Amino acid sequence: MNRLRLDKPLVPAFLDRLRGDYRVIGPRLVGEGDIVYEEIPPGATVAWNFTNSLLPPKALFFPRVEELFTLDYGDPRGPTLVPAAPERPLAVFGMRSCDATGLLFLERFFGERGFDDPTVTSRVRDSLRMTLACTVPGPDCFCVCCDAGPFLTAGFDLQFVDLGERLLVEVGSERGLTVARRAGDLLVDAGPEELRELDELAAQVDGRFQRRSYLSRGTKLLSLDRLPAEAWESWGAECQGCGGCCFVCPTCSCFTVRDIPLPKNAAGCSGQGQYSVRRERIWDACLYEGFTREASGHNPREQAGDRLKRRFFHKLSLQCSEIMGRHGCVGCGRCVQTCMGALDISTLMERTDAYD
Amino acid sequence: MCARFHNLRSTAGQPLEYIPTTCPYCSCGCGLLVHHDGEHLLSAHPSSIHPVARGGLCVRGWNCVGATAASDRLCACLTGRGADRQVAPWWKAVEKISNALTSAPRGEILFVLGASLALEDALAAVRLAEFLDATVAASLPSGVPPAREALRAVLGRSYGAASPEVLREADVLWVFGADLHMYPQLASRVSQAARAGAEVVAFDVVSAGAAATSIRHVTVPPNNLRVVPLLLESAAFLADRFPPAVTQAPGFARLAALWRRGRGPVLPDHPWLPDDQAAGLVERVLQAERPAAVVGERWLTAGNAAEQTKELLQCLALLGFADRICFAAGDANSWGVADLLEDHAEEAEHLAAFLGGCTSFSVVVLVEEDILRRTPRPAAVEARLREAHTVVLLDRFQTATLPWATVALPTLAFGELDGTLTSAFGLVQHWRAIVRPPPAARPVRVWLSRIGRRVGMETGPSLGTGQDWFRRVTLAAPAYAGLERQASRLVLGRVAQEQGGMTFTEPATRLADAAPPAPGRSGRFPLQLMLSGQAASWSTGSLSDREDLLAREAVHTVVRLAAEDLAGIGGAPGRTALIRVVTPHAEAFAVPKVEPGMPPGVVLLAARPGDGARALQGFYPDPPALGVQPVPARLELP
Repeated sequence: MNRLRLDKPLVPAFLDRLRGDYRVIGPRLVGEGDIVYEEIPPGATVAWNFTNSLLPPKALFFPRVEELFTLDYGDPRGPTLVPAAPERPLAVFGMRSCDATGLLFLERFFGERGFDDPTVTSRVRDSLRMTLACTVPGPDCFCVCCDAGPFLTAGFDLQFVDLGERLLVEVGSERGLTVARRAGDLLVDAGPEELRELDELAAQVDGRFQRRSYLSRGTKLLSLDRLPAEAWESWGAECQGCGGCCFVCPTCSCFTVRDIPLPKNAAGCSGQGQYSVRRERIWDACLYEGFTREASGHNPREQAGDRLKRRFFHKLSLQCSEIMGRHGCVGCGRCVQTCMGALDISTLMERTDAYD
Repeated sequence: MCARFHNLRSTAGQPLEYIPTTCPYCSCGCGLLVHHDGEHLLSAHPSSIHPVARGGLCVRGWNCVGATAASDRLCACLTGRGADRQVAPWWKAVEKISNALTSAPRGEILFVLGASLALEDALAAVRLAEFLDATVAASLPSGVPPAREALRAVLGRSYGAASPEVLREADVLWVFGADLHMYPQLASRVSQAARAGAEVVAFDVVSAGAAATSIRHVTVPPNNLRVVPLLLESAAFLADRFPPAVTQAPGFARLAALWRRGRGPVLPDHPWLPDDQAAGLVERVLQAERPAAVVGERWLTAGNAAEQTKELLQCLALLGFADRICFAAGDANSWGVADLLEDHAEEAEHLAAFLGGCTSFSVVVLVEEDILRRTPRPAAVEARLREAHTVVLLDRFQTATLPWATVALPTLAFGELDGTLTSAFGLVQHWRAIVRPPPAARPVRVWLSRIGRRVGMETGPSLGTGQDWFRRVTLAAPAYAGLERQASRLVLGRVAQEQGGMTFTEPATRLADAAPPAPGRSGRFPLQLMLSGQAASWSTGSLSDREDLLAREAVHTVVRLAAEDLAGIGGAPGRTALIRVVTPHAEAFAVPKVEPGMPPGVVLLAARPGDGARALQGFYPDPPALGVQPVPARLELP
């Protein structure tokens, strides 16, 4: 039961069968053509002909703003920690291969380095990841250079391949197998025709990538610190400091925390004490000036070029790859699209040519 | 009275729905998608298909949800001032306003409109002002009126280029007084053009400082008002090479004759741009296929801006830039509000006179305009407001002007308001109502309709939906004729522009008498100080409060300068944390930042003529000087 077939018109019914156990999320078209990952209403279908969403599904697992806990000072014996409300696990349909790879990176960042932050890791580990392999890569995509697609061999529960009116379904985990069994008659064994089409697609798709990324050269130059300060200064001057590259990157995890004082009787507080505090975690960006500013006011990375250097070192250096098990780029191409200064990974690696 | 209304909320576990809407900040009008839970705005990210945003937003856009989840919302109707201030039922507040309006002597009422008002709300204010025979003007400090005036006079239309993409595609790009830090969408396209091989020329220190490394050929005169006559003179030798569209335009022959007669060594003291270099610049533009230009606030807010801009546009039109001129100017709806105030353009002088202390009004109605935050002379404005019998404030926030209001009405903020706006590119776009406003808040148009009814104005069958009001906009402003407001569309269309031809007239400014010479260097003040934009430099992603945003727009942080000037006072990059900037009128502390594009002798203090000006009191004695005129200064170690 490793390779199955699902007819596209049956996808809403397939997703409906997951609703008992999961919140079902999938790609949807909003406005005049933007793709976002939204909750799929019962019976509704998903978007098919898209490259990718600008905001990665990372936002589902590592939300932009997240309540970590509330400290309730209502008890005279001392403050009580009120954990955030439990959530239903997510079933994400149509996630691209690069994003699924990015989730593995996030899971390792938050959970496999001597500590475990269950807010993120439990969402990732409890989720049902149904990826949609890319058969037509977008103009900014280069996952093929990053060991992150267009087809996955691991890191998914179910991998779907669009064959027109049919989807070929590959099972990648025990959870995926359970779901496939529960889907019953909706999923049938793939025939030789589908398997042949899959092989043909897999052979063709690599050649359809328009963008290349010189990651190896960049990794060498970054790891050996061979890019001169003037280069970073020059590139830093082009950085608009928007933080967009960090926000759209499937592997970026910069965050900050803050404590919000709550009035009495606020949700989650007994209301007896003087005050209560909600601790929130929100996305931050290492390209923002204050990200590394110290309490004294000193900022070791005050210049944009220094911040840029740090970002790329964390993304691509061998030192960081050794810690994280891989480099921090999955080739989704989102930074190519969102960066206003041509300082995305792909373009910057090209620009390192002058220093090699 | 004005409790914390809402704040950022956790996005974890929330229903996932995204609504397309438009960024509320600058005149670029980037399209973005807002995630909400029905009660709160949760996050925002750029639209990848919006013609301006194209998947990118500046830091303000990315954080606009946090910045508008403000702790200082105005959540109740207020009457009285100072110790007499109290929360009042809306009908009492409205009655007080209508009584004041009806009892005010003729000509004694002033309406001041903000530049971020929705078109529908702006129209409601204009209609009420017209009914009351009041003076109505918009607070447009960013130079949009002179830009429009010059565009009309030279090119016969009201808007510049239809898309910022013309900058990216340019092979020669000239930048005039454009503080590109404040308009990252334009800055990024300028950078892209430079990387693609375009010759980018900045004609002033502000533009150069904003994009130093992406500019190949930087010309940094201390006073850029002298550039235009110089270029015109240089172009005189090339008059026979201008395209037919130019040479056949009305006035060209007379202008060309004038140049030929006037040619001579009339600008002897311009070492920053010798004649042969100026001629070279012109020559290369005439050879270019896609010359493009950016004209920014620094130029447009200079003294005599309308005339200067007209001459600049004449120069650019002659050289073939006509269809590729972008304006880095304005708040979110500055251009749209200017469309609606077309018939009231002359009344802007009354506002200027009021702010300058030359005239007073009995009733002042401030419609989403925080006039005290924008003015560089708050004491004078406070005096004007104190003198007025009634000051009505319609606003979303407890602004700096609120203490002077005698009646205040709460209005809707970004994400609550359903309305439309017009970007600097003439795109008419939608602001969508996504979440519920505070219970007492109403759209401006609703408040003004209620007031209008009480003063006897016929407001139509109802207070009006957004659809009704937009239809009225299309009837009131010719530029909007034929546009339809479709709820599903973010971009409703482009304003219609008359396709007027080019017209050239004799320049009012002539060469040697073009502009006063730059301030001489004296022993006490050897440097020339100019204001520049503060790059939106967010401290962390934890923005949650409008106050954070305002603080970051303030100006005390950075002074950009050349390494030589820092060394001249014994400082060193990375080791000198703070320096004192001293002018004959004021002083401030700033963090020195050495920039490669800065010429020795010129320093840039981060500021903005509008929002940050209050913190720069004393640096500039007169508002018109906020633009491009340098001020003598010196630096000291604290």
